Amino acid sequence: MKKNEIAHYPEITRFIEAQLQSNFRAEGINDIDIFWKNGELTSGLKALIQEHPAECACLVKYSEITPSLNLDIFGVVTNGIQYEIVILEIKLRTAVGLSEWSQLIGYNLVSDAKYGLLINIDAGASDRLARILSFDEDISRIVRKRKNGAAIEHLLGFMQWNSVTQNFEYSNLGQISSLSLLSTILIEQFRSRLEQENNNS
Amino acid sequence: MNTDKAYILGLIIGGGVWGNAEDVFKIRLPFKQWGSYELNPKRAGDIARDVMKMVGPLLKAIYNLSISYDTSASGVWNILCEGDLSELRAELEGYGIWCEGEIRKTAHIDNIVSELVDDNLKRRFLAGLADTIGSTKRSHRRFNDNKQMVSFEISGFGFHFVCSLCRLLHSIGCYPDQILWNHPNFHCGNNPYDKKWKKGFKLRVYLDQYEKFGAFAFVSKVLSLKENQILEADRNVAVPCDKRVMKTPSVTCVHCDENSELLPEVIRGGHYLHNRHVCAVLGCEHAPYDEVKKLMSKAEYCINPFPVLTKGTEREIKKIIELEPILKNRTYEKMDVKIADLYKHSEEESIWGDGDEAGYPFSKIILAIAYVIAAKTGQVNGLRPKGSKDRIIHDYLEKFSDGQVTIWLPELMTPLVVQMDRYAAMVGPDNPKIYKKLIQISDENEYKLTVRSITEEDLK
Repeated sequence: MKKNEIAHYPEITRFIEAQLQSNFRAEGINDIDIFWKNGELTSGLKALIQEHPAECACLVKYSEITPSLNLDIFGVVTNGIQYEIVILEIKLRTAVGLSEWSQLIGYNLVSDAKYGLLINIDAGASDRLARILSFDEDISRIVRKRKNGAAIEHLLGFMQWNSVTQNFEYSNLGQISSLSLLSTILIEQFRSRLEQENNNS
Repeated sequence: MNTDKAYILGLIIGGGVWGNAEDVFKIRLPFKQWGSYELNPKRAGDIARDVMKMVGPLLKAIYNLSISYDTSASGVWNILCEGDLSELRAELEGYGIWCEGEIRKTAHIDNIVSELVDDNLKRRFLAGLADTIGSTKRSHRRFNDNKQMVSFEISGFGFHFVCSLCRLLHSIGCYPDQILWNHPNFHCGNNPYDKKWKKGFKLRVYLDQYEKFGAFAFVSKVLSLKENQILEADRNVAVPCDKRVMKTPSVTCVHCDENSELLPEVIRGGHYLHNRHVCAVLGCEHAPYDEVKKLMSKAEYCINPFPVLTKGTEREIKKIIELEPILKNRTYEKMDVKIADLYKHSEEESIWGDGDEAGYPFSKIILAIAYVIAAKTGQVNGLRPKGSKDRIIHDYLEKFSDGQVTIWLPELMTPLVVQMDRYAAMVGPDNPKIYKKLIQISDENEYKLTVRSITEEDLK
């Protein structure tokens, strides 16, 4: 019997978490936790804060200001001091197109999450979306300026989940072309913030 | 190191072939019949998809390489990888892997393994190797369909590479069942004159074990694994090497190539009784050292300085005898013996010995008889009888109940010859008391056993 997309959520998050954790460890970073929640963002964040207070206390402020948003999956990557949100928009379609990509952009903009992955199970992207993502970098790397001048960057990518091999197949569409690249960016970000904090203190 | 690079490194170590070109190398997938578009068109389609949809985008994402592929009816696939290879080359060289020729023949993976800091990274690396050299051919079963295997097939003489790979599998709880070492004692245990022993290594893991701890990223491999798994009645669980009991192995001959220059120094010159005996000589921490010692203490029961069983035409066997003084200088008594009389003995027994555990093993004499019958009646594949020895002898005796073979029996305990028409087979005797005198332990390695040549004096 064919599984629906929700039935694939656990295997997908398990795989991503294993790859990110391995890549952090390979760089000598052993204090990262990754948590996943499905559904509404703010209540998910509050649940995480309650379930993992030591690791997720840093999310309190964010959980208070972020609007309510229904997501397929969001992940929190945290070292207990800093965090990053990764949004996964999972589809089980013969091809995903601009409307699914727009959905992901919308979620990332509204939530301020820096990272977003559109994932289609056992299928790829429409020709139109593939063309747009191949030729227009700005559609997968969006930098917003807030009123106060602060910039918020969003990096998005499209990947295909292969339910037979339980593995990702990359498409090279979007800014996040691989899980190792996502790991590299996260590692750099965590490191530079830590350095900044050390310098400040 | 990262998870994607770990997989790519596995692919390149398993199949990487480098030539002189600066900007291109290939990953050879030696799938043979399993991946042939003539024999398995559906699977060939899956492989092409795996190459273009999985390997290609991955190499593009990580090293900005472009790929194409070619294949032939023989089932060998080549993934041609083009682009600026400097980053990849530098990384490989950083691990001590030189981008020359077929990498798996010369590579050491210890530097890579030390960077695989968790089980997931190890699995990714293993998946790359398994997608290239992990064979899921159905014939890799053990004894019957219920025990299906994944066989890592490695050419060359990289004993350390195979040992490192085995330890890597062990480290994630995936215990290899057996290693077929690329050594004459394992590939040619019966015939010391057979030069075709360089058949490569096979590191075999139960399919069920590998599925649990390892992985494939090729759809074609996963589907093949599932097809094979359907044949199994039960799930197989492997046991760690150091917990396994070693059964007394079959007698093997002392091969003329045990001193081959192709073998690494640590192995060269040794005689190996069991696949885990090699592990002990290589110093693997998982080798069952006590069991190996026990086996070595009765090694004289496991070796034969003569052929155990050498088959051929009468002329070929005569030529071997001519070239070996210890065989040539014998007086052979010719005896015509009824096959039915020999066939009724138990295969545990031996015959024409001196009563002191010495004698010619019936099990081998029966195999020799089956061979000469099969050869005479056109039932052989090369030197291998088609079908079981019992069926061949049975069928023959049904037609020729008084059928005979000629036995040439030497006056000293050197090999006898079984002959029928133009075909013959040489059977070496068991003679443990004498053979014990030939065995020595190496000064450098307490597990390395050498066997010197036998002389007439030893037999008198």
